[in-house]
Amino acid sequence: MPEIIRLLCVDDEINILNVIRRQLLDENIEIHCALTVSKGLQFLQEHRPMQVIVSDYRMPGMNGMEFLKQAELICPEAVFIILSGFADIPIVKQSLENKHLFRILRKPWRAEELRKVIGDAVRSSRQTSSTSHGAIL
Amino acid sequence: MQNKKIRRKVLVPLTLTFIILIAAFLYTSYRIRTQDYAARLTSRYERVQSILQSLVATHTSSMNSIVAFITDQQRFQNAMLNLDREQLLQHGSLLLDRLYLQQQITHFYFHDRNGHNFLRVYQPENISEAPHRFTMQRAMAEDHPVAGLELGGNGTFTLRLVYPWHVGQELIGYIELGQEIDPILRELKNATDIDFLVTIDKEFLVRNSWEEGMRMLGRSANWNILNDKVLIDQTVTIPEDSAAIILSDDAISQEQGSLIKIEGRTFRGRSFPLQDAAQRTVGDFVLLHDITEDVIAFRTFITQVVAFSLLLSTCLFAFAYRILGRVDKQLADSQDRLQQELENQAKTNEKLEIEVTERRRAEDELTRLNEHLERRVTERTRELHTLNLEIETGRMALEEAYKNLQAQQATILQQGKMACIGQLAAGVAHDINNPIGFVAGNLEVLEDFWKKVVGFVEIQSDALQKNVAGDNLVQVTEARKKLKINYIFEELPAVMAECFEGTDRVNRIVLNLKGFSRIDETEARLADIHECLESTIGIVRNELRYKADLKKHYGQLPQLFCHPQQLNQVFMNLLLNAAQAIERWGEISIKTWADENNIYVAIGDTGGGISPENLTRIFEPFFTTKDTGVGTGLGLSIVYDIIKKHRGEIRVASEVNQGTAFTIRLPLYGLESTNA
Repeated sequence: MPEIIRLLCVDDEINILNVIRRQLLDENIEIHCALTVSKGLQFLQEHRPMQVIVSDYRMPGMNGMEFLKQAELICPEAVFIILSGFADIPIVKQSLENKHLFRILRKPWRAEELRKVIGDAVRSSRQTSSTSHGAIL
Repeated sequence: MQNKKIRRKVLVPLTLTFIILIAAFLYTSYRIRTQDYAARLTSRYERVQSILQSLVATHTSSMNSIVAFITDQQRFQNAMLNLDREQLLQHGSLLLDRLYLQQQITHFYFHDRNGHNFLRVYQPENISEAPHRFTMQRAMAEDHPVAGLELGGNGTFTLRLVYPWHVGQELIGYIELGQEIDPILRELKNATDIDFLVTIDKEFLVRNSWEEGMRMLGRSANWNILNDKVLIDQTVTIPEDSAAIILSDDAISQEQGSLIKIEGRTFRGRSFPLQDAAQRTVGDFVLLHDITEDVIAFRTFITQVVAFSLLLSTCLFAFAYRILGRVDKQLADSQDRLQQELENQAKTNEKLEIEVTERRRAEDELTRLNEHLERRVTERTRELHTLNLEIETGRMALEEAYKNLQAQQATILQQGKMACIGQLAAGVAHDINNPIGFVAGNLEVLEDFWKKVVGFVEIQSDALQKNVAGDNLVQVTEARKKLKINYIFEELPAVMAECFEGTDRVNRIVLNLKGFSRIDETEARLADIHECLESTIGIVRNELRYKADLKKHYGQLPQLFCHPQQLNQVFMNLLLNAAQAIERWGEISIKTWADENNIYVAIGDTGGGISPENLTRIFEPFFTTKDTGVGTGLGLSIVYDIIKKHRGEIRVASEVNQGTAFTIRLPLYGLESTNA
């Protein structure tokens, strides 16, 4: 049995968070939601570890990439996915190429798509951690 | 005043002419006369000479015959041979008397064979030696009779003959006869009626013997009349002092001779040299010609001629004077009139001259002005021409600049517009994408949930069918009918599908807006023209939807190295134009194809078309036929610009009320070649 996946969603739009929760209802995923970046960061500090973090880009106070940088410090094992109305922001593309960011999903998205990306992200996360384990061992 | 002048002018020269004529006449007459005298003198002299010679010859021949007679006389021969002076004198004296009477022979000599004087018959007591004269010497030398005029010591000229006396072959002596020249000269005077004087140079004379000789001849002898000469003979009586004056004058030896006045008579005289037998010039033979009558006649003639001439002159003078007076008067009148006329003329002339001068000045001024003007005009024309050229060049440059500016402005405007749209789209996209995101997400959830609900309701329905009977079931069935649950179950998937389509479309619009807004994308890249077309169609779909059917005929196209956003703009403009060209309903077609080097896109419509006169101008910036606010007039110019940037071309074919078709050709390597 695969172990439960821990997922953090950060978006200033509650509706988005609701939709994501509903779409992943049947999955074996533990979904945590945060309406602001600060709440997201705070949650991460309190509830480590986290496999997947899905974040919006344009948010009040801090954009998705800044959040990503901070979250990476707290939770380096997490795989980051940006879900945004903007899909072609240069800095986002840049971090995608630098492997800091796993994938970008454009709003509107399809449930199937989201589930697949999260599946991929989890697999990617496991591979990374196992190789690092191997390296430690 | 004028009269006198003219008279004087005519009469003075006339008078002078007369005077000169008369003077010339007189002079000429005088000259002719003088020459005539000279000629006459010369001819007279020649005549005198020849007569004198013939007289001498005659006398000589007679003396010759006398001597010949003597020599033949036996008594003379014997006396001479016997040197009997007494005998000779006796015979000779008898003969001499006869000879003197008949022949004026005054001298009679007998000389011995040596030439010494033997006897002077005319002076028997004088037996002194006689001088050996020329005739004697010649006769002795030539042994031949010799005759000639010999000057005697007493100053008399004597014709002498010396005759050699031969008896048989033997010379026994010489006989000499002499004859004074006076009788000969008198004969000469009688024969020629010419007067003359004879002078002898003193050097040939001895004063005493000359004076004695003169006395003997019974003539007056004045030794002192002249310095160097003495007068020995004359046929005319001349006072001694007159003779002296005549003879001392040099003029007497000139050709014309000199004029001599003696006792009221006028002579013309000329001297000729007088020679003796030895050809010596021993004196002068002065010819004198009495011209008293001639002179008087000449004077009379001259006086008459002059008088006549004067008379004639006076008449002519008077006549001329009168005529001239009349002419003068006429002339004066004419002159007065002329003067008046002239004065008038002069006044007129003056006026005319002034006028002419003024006119000339004016003309000069005009000419100068004209030249100046012409030069100015030429200069101005040249300047103007140059300025025109400059202006034209400037204008063209300005026009060009203006067009460029317009085009740039248009581009900038369009680009600005596009950039605005892009920014707007970027901002809006997020805001729209969020709601669309959760609407779409929720729709999916709803669909999922709905399936579950339908499944559950089916199960429930089956269960009800089996387990609930009677009225309850009827109730359920009626309620199901009434609520049209079956219909809902059937329709709901369609409802969902339509919702999905809605969210889909919104999503696409946002996407296209965003994609289209990237107008400042500078780098060219490989792009699919079909994608570009679709993207553009997505944006303008709403514009097209209510106007036309969109028909696509896509061919196989390679990817093109291009600026896709710019091409999007091209397609959008063309499509919007096509839609706007259609008034109610029509058809818009998009056709693409390719050959080896080019991609072609043709966009056609069945709209109103473009009139031929507008067809050539549609690519000009700000050219529009649309109502204000509808079009900017920039669309097609931007299209043209972009196609040009891509090294392609755009062509248009249009027919009014039939439609328009734009064909774009894009070379596959157009931009690469420029980048390279």
